[in-house]
Amino acid sequence: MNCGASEAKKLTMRTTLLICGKAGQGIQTIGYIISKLFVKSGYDIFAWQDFQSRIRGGETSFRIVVSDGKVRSLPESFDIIVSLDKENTKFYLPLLKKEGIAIYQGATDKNVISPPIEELSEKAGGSKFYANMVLTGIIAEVVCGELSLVNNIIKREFEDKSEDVVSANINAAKLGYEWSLKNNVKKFCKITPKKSDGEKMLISGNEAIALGAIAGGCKFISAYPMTPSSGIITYLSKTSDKTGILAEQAEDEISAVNMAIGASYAGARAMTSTSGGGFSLMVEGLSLAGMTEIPLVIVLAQRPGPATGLPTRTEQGDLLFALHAGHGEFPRFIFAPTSADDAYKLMLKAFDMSQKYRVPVIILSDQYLADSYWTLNNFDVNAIALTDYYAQTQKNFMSYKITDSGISAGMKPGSSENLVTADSDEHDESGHITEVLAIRKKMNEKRWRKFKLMEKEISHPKISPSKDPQIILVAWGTNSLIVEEAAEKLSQSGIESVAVSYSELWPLRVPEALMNVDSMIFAVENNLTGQFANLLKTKGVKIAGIISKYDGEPFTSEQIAEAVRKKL
Amino acid sequence: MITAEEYKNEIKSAWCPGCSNFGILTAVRNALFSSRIKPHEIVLVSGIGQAAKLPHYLRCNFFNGLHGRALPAATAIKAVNPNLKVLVTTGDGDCYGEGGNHFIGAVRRNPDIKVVVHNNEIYALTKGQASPTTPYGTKTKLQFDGVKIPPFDPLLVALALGCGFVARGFAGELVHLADLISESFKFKGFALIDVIQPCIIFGQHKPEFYKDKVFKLTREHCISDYDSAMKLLRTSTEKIPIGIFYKKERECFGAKSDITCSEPEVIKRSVAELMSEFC
Repeated sequence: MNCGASEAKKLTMRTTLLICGKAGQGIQTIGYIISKLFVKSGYDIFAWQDFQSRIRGGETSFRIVVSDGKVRSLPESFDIIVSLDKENTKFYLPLLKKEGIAIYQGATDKNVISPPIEELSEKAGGSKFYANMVLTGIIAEVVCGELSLVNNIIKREFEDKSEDVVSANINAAKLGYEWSLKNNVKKFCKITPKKSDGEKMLISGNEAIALGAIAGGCKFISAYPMTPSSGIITYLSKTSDKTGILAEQAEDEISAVNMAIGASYAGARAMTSTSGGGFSLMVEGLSLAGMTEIPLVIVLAQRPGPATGLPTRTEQGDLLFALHAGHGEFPRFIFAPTSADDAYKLMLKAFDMSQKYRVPVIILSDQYLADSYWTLNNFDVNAIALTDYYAQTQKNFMSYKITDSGISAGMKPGSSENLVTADSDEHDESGHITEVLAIRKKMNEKRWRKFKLMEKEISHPKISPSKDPQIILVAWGTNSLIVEEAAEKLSQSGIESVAVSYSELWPLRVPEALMNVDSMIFAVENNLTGQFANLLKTKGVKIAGIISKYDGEPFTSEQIAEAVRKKL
Repeated sequence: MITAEEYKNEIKSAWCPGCSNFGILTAVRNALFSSRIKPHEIVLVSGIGQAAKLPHYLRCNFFNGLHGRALPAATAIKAVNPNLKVLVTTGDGDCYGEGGNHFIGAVRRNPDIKVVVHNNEIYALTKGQASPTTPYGTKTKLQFDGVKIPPFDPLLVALALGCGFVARGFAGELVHLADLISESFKFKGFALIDVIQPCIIFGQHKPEFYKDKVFKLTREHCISDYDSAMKLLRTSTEKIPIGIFYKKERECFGAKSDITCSEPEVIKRSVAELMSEFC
């Protein structure tokens, strides 16, 4: 161990950490506890995980950005890189800043701190099993965290474990912490603990989506496990005793979507969640929801395709698929959350819109959002309204009554003597099969009439303020916050730029700011072909170029800024 | 008191004149009113095929979904509102072919739904291709030199999967069939009633052929004995037994009470409680 003299540096706005190791070493646990420590110490964090599609081994990392302001994207490089696996560090050390600090056992480089992790783990619990907690203790000390906070977090994290296991974990963290203290590792202490209000949430994208579903009145979810969407049904299942939600793992995605439609027919707010391959199997069911006008919410957590693609990586490659999925013509909403906060709010809107218009709503998430952690203030529970859109009058009820708006109010079967029908065939107002072509025409028009009203429900994209910008960067979904940061960077360097971020994609609305402007408009997308740009073009938006990334990783704001500079 | 009349509607049938589906329709209707189920208390669920049109010919709630997908929809309807009665009318292609994985899933899951399979051993609506239950060697327009794979045995598979109500009916024995359906409503769990429904257009045999072939199981067959049910189903005989082969209740899938209401105040409380766990 060679730590050098203590030269505590000044607090910066942004400190970045990368924790890495092999799958199965407990990297996620370290990352989560350290993230929690920061939040409890009064900081905002943003964290993202990268994995390989395997259960043990390989490379996995948990990347944390800490600041005392809003954190919006991942960095290019890191202040601190810690690893549980020496081999693994080769993969990640190139991401270390020049003045950064690396910590892993067995390092020969004198600039690297090499703690006796295994020895301390043995000492704490009699096995190497506690190595991740030793490392947690070391990191906690390096970033000036309080050990008592770490202990509390561990106790809560392991609350379902035996007392022995909990105390061994706490002991391991303590030994790591003390070792770090004794060996004066803290030369890179950039963070001083702040007085914490302690009230902020540390929540993942998938958890925010699930919580939004609960708040949106969801009572039923059926899904087939598929990365990166599985966290949604997992959360809804483990909290079902509190919420009364029925969460069921279906035998396949076809069943999942048909179960959700069945539950919704019966009157429960229902959803399913999946990724691209599973969504492919759900397409027929999506069309059924369109035809039967049964409310349905589908979360499509994107990952790179085609086919199995890169199962654990991120991409925005399924936008046009989501838009065109399903045979026949029927209206739908497509929303793409920009953050965990936005995800929660959009889930409320998704359930509300689905109920109001009796149409499917697709939420486009991706691995970047699903597996990221965010610091958020509590959501306002008073914003939960849950409007009841069911038919108020019981007289002459017909499930597919032709109306001016196109909306035929629903009814729960069994709630009255009225009969509630649903038919995947073309049907008349009473829901019975028809081959009278004049009725077919009327029904098709009725279903599509809703689209005009749906357009009015869409909020305009967020536009950062600026006068006559040279550059407009258009983003959608999870790219938005990164693009906003890139626009700020460009503006600071003299290239006046604004970001236009879309989270409500369909029906598509184009703001004035994108029409007839002299600015150069670039679309920034996590896909190859610029799918959203192609949609904007159909509305007459002049796109100067596409900045795309499709290697399975999210953008950094610097990559976007650099790409713009190159295009000028 | 409910009458069979309450279930009648004016919808014109798309079935062939003389089709044995009409017999099944009568049996279903008679079973519903004799079980004192009102039209708004039941949901008839179906997929696609001629059997799947049955819900249109009764005056009641119905969900006529996709080909092969009746069971997932029916499972969820019953699961979120256990007050509803749920009956699936489906065919051999719909239930055992296109919906094969759902058949396995539903039997294992054991929702409290009743499934009447119109088993005519052929894809009739698409004009006569082999179905999963078409006998080995049967020549069809598509399988011109005979079906090369052995048929699917739904009752045996259901029993192997742990189905708690395994029965066979015959479309030519209406009183017996109606009794089977009524019995299934008294049973709590997934009930399978596979019905021999000879197709008068593409079928190997006319309905009359089965009249002499079938025999009703008597009390001598112990319906709570799994092994004897298994033995009976595995023994091939000239005669075809109809009736209940096996009956035993086990834990059902679904909510204990109606969960279709989303109460804002209750949801606000649970969201607030769950948020505190993230702090």
